[in-house]
Amino acid sequence: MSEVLAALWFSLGVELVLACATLLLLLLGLLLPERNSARLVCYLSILLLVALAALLLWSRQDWRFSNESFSSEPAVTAVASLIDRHFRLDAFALFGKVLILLTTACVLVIGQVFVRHEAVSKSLYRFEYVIVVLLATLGMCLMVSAQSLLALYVGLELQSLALYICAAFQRDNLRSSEAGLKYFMLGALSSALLLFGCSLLYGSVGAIDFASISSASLSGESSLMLQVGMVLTLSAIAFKISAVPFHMWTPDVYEGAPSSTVAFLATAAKVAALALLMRLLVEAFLPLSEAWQPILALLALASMLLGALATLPQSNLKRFVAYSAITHIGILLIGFATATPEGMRAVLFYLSIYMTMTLGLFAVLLAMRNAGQPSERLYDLSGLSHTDPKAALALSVLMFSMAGLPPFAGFFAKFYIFLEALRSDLAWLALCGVVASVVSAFYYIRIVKVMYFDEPQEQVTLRGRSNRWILYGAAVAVVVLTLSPSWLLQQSEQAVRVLFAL
Amino acid sequence: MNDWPLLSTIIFLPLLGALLLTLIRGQDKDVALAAKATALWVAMSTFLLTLVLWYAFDPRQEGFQFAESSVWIAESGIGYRVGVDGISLFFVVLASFLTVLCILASWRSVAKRVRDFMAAFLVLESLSLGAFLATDTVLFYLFFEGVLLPMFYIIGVWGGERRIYAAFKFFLYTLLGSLLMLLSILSLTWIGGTTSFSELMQTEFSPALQKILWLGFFASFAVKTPMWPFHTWLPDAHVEAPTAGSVMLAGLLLKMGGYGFLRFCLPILPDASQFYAPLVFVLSAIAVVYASLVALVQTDIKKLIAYSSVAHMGFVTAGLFADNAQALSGAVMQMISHGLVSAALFLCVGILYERAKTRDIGAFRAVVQPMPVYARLTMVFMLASIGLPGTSGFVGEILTLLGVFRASPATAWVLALGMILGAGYMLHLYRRVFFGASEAKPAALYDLHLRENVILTSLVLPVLWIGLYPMPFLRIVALPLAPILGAAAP
Repeated sequence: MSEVLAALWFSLGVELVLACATLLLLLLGLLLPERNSARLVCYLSILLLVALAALLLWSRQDWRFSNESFSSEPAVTAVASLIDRHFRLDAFALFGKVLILLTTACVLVIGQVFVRHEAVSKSLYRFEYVIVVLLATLGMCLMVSAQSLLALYVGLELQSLALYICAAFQRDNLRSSEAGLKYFMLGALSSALLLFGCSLLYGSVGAIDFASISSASLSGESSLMLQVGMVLTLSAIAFKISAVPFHMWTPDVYEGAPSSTVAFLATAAKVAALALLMRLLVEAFLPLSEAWQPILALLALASMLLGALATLPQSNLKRFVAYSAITHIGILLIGFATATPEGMRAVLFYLSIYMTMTLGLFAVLLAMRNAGQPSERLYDLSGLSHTDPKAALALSVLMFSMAGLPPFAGFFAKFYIFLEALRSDLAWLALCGVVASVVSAFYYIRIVKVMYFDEPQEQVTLRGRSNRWILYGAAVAVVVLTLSPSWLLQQSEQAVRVLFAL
Repeated sequence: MNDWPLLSTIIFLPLLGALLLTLIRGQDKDVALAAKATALWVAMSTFLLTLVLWYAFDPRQEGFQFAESSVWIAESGIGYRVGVDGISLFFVVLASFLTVLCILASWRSVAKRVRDFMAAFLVLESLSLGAFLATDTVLFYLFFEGVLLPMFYIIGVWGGERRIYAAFKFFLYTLLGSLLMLLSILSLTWIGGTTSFSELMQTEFSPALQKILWLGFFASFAVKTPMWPFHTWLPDAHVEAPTAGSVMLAGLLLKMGGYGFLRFCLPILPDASQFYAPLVFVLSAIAVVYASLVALVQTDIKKLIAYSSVAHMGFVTAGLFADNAQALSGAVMQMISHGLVSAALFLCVGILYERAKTRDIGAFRAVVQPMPVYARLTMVFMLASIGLPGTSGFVGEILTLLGVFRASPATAWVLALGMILGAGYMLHLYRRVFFGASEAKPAALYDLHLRENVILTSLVLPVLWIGLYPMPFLRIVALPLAPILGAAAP
């Protein structure tokens, strides 16, 4: 029995702990007096997330991610292999999970100052909000270790449903409800696509685990049905990562949904969806890479160009983030389109750095107050270098890094993506990436310009000490990762090696 | 002493100084003064260190000296590699020298956010020193593009009326070029398997590939140099930048373009350089004539000098691609000389602007009367800019012209015509501003005070030294140029 538990622990340990703890926190929230419940539950969740991430990091040497150490007792092996067919905690899942857990923890930290504000606190400052966020995180963790279409769907839906609720959580706000509804409608459409794709895949392969799909497509049985199923599945995930032309929901949902939710959508949710995409492409569809490479290349091209051009006129910071995220997704997709281990490594590297920068940006966005009211206008940052020089400096470091300028980590992120693109004969895509980078550099340095060259707005302040620390931390991380990117590169490499079974 | 990482000290000392500046606390006025003093001391120490470097530099030794090398990103073979050779030595000295002068020149003229200004200059110095000393492509790129950031701030925060437009134009123009170069660097890294200059120089790349990669480098360096028709950012950036910013821009940043040609295009991609040489000649010839003609009709003194920079850089690019020793060393001398002379001219304009608050040529007349010393010093720099024998400008221009004549007589003729035009616009400018009857005193003009005198005189000395006795410079420069000439396939 204990060995069955051990098998469970090896593949689903984090999820089990997270699920149990979420339920316990739900109970705890009900028992606590209403005044303190939100704060306490939030602090406990942050602690829980960080502890889980630390546990994962600490234990990675001891766990060999395999069932070899189990006894040959048939019942145990049966259970172990059953679980193993659907979920697996390998180095890749570990990388994804640590990233998801840490970003979620940061999002909860920087969201505090926003949800506590009087104007939004009535609807958002409730412990249920944190619980829903934890449930979404659970879904994300399931997504990154999914080994079968079933597991994939379960994880994706758990995450999505929780996120719909998060988007619509501000019930008394029309825009939030609109965003939630919009997100839900389009999300449901993409789920339908996904299910349809999965059923086609199952129909043509006769199995639902990635390994079988891979071997089926390897053995030359790549029927049209399989390919159509693959395309439908990919488009559903393209919706989740908001790649053009599946991006339509992004700006509206980002603008309408409460900022703390947007921070979550733009970070952890993206990590999970991209990790899932990578797993699916490599573990299930690698033999079909010639079929999906052009698709991803086109998605990358469209996302980069549309994202870069559409960001230009934005003056709302949340819409700005939405469109600039589309550009970044485009550049990440270049890495996917290479279909090589090095390309995927570059993607993970880019993703980690991009998450750091985005968290720093949201730390500012959530903390901005114009005359005491939460603000999301770009021009409210005017003259921040006068009123708050340190924050302005940190934010401009992040902006330069987002634009991919040396000597900041964003440069190396782009460096590796472009390098692998050239290596895989995708020079045209790298060239388009360069053009998109120049255009996007314009709007990133425009933020620097607003902060440094424009006249200050006296009424704008940044609240929240923890937000400030996250902002400084992100800026420092961006510099440190330039000086020694090796560690992160190695981690990405290890994660990718497992996927490619090298 | 031999183990001391001298080059790293030189590169990072100004950066350290910039960090130090952020620690200053107190009243605004005290902070400004302390910041200026600290920045000056840091810049002076760096300058002294570069002089030590010059002294300790062995002119007979080939290859990079004082080389430091350590692993940075082992996965991709990228290393922290720095070294100095005859080509980079003088740019390094020039960079640290000009920074000292810039800080002195901004002593009074910069009133707002003095501490940030000084920090930006020290960062700029650090990055440009790094760009000249790096011997690793990725490290070079890091410094080369990093220079954009402090310059963006310097133009955007302390610039003139249209500073934001100029800052953005400068930034985006240069960035596009740099990113295209990045693609070429990435290809070199991938195909050559290394990022070290000296190893790349030994790698043979197929001519077809060279031609593509060359264009990437060209995009970056042609914008930076700038070559016609990629020069349009330059007049705007110069006019809007504060005086010290213009000095750094003309004295250092433009040199990075020529330096890049010398480091990448010529030695690593020799066949492509030969192939594209006619294109460079045509563009250079157009640049010289076109920029000179445009300079003739300018009414803003600073803009006129900015266009004269474009013309002078036309000489440099033509000389670089003429593929003979004379032209090459001429081009390098021209870069050094231009670094001194154009910096001096921008300082002269700045001094005039500080007094009269205008740079319009029509607003001045008979400046020689209230400011005789200033008029004399400016005369020296203008003549050096024209290329009068005995000044540094002459050495560069005559060598370039002789060398280019051997490679392409037609280009040399056009360049010579450009020299005449250059004398035309400079003397025309001088006559209009300094001479003429003084009906009314235009503004409260007064002659140079000690600080300005020191700045300009310290620039006159090297200009005359190079002009009268260029051998110490030529000897050091010539040695590393020899392998570049040998690199092209016969």
